[in-house]
Amino acid sequence: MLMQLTKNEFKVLCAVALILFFGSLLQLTFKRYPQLLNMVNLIESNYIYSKIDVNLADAEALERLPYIGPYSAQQIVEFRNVHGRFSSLEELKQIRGIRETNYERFVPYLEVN
Amino acid sequence: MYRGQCGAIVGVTCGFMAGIMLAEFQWVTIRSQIWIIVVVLGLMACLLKTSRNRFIGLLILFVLLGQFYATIYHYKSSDSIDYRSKYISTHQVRLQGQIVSEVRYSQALNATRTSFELRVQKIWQNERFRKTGGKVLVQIFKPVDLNYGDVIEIQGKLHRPFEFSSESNFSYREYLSRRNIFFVISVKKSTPVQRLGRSGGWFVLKRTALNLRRGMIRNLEVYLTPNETAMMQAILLGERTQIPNHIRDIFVHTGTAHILAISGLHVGMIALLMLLLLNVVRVPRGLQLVITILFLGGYIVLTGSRPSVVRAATMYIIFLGARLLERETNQLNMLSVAAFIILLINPLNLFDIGFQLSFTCVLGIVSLAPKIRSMLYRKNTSRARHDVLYAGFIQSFSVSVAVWLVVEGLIGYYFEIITPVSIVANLIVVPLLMVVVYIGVGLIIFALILPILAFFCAACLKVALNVMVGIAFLFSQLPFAYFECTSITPWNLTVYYLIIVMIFYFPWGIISNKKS
Repeated sequence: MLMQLTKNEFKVLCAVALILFFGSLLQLTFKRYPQLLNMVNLIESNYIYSKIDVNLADAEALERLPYIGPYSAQQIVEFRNVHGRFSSLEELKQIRGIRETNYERFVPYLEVN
Repeated sequence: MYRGQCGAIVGVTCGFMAGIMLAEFQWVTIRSQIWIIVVVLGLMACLLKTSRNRFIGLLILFVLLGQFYATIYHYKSSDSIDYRSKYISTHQVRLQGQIVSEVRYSQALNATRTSFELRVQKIWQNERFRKTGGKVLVQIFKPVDLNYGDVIEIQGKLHRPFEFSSESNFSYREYLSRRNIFFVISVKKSTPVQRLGRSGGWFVLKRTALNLRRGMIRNLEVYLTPNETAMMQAILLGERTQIPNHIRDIFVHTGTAHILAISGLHVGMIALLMLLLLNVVRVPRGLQLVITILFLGGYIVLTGSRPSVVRAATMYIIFLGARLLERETNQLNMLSVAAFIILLINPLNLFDIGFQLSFTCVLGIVSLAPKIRSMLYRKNTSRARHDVLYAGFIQSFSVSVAVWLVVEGLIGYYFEIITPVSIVANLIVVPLLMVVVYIGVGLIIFALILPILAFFCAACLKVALNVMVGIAFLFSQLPFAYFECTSITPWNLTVYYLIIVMIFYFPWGIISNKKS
């Protein structure tokens, strides 16, 4: 009686066993190598932002990014025209009208190549 | 699956939809509409004797009924808040009413904002409360502990909803007007909000469902990171507002955004899981179907009754109901019944992006996918017969192409983007979604009844979810993965769909036979 499993019972028990096994394995791995957890945490990282090069983008492209309005986009382009290429994203903070809080929001979408 | 005949319900639903579209032009007065319907009814009773003529009569009748129903649905009573607001929009307004939507909390300008829909019952005018009707969107600039069905009193400023962008084809004002909301009331932080009572009956059921949902979200927050929780909320509970823009963009750019909204795929997987679990605990077959039908009904309430969920759940309920009664089903009939029900709930759902995407997607799967599959099979019939893996690939590929073809027009029009990469991306992301949904449901169940097991589910879910997002991100970074297109007009859209119909339904075979 104990050994008589239906097809569906077998499927469910296999799924539970798989989750238990992989779950335990992953828990162990994450505890032993915490740096792996950071690697897996792609969703929380900055890697998955679609970035554009702040030295190549025109005002229209910058404006399409979240948290950058037409005024800020224009200011970035004008700053670049006057002072030359950006060497780091930190330089964006010097631009008039760009506040620290806003900078933190839009900076993951930008890069300097 | 049982297969039945495609019935009159398809024609009737199409007629009803055409009527709703006609109502948008407001070309006939209500009185004339009533007279026309009476005349058509009279003609049908006297003249139409043959089955074909009766069907045509019925079709005309449902076009007229669709138009009439849409007109009546949005007909405002004379005491509606929308009329009164013309005189009071510059001053503070005091309102009493009932909360008829989920209460949402969001971060805006470094403060928590509470927002919900309020069915207005009374308005303060000339030193006394007067009876009124209509709905407004309430925004309170502080967190307030309120619930669905609460009767409250508030004071604030009435204004029209803001238009955020004039360039996009999406209009927030229009979106709210389709929900019968024409005004927003903003309540200051310093103004008190008074709770007068709490409604019973149906409200208790829905309030319980929403509280359960809140509890589930809290449980997800315990085991997952904020962005992971936001994604699982969208995938399992239909709450999409918390997903960060950059993650949403990844899925939009790869044409896989449908996985972030509850669709037939999600509902089907959940229904299948339910049946499987009931089967395991040896519940009789009939009872399994009844419990799953009731569960799907509850799931509609739990997820906020969005058109795509109602569509998918209704189709599955009809399918399971037919199995219970041992009747045959037809996918087009089921789709039509689901559309008819959603349009009866609110006729202007016809113009909702979610409704359009959801129905065209299923229409593509039902009507185009078999044609594409037969085209691909014809080229390699013997292999398709013997190779199960190849047959499975053809099946998935034809569905992916069919969905891409029918949905791409609408996506291009509304989101101004064309995503060729979505045909391949869907083939990989959708199977991963299945894993995510099953483990996610496991996590929610275990978190409620056996938290120790929830940790194991959470670890697996974390990996599956991150792999899914990572793969979608890689696809979005491919060259020519997506193009931006800003100039698609409704006429372009019509031509696009006409071309698809021509390609797949024009009798090309007859023409080539004649020539030969």
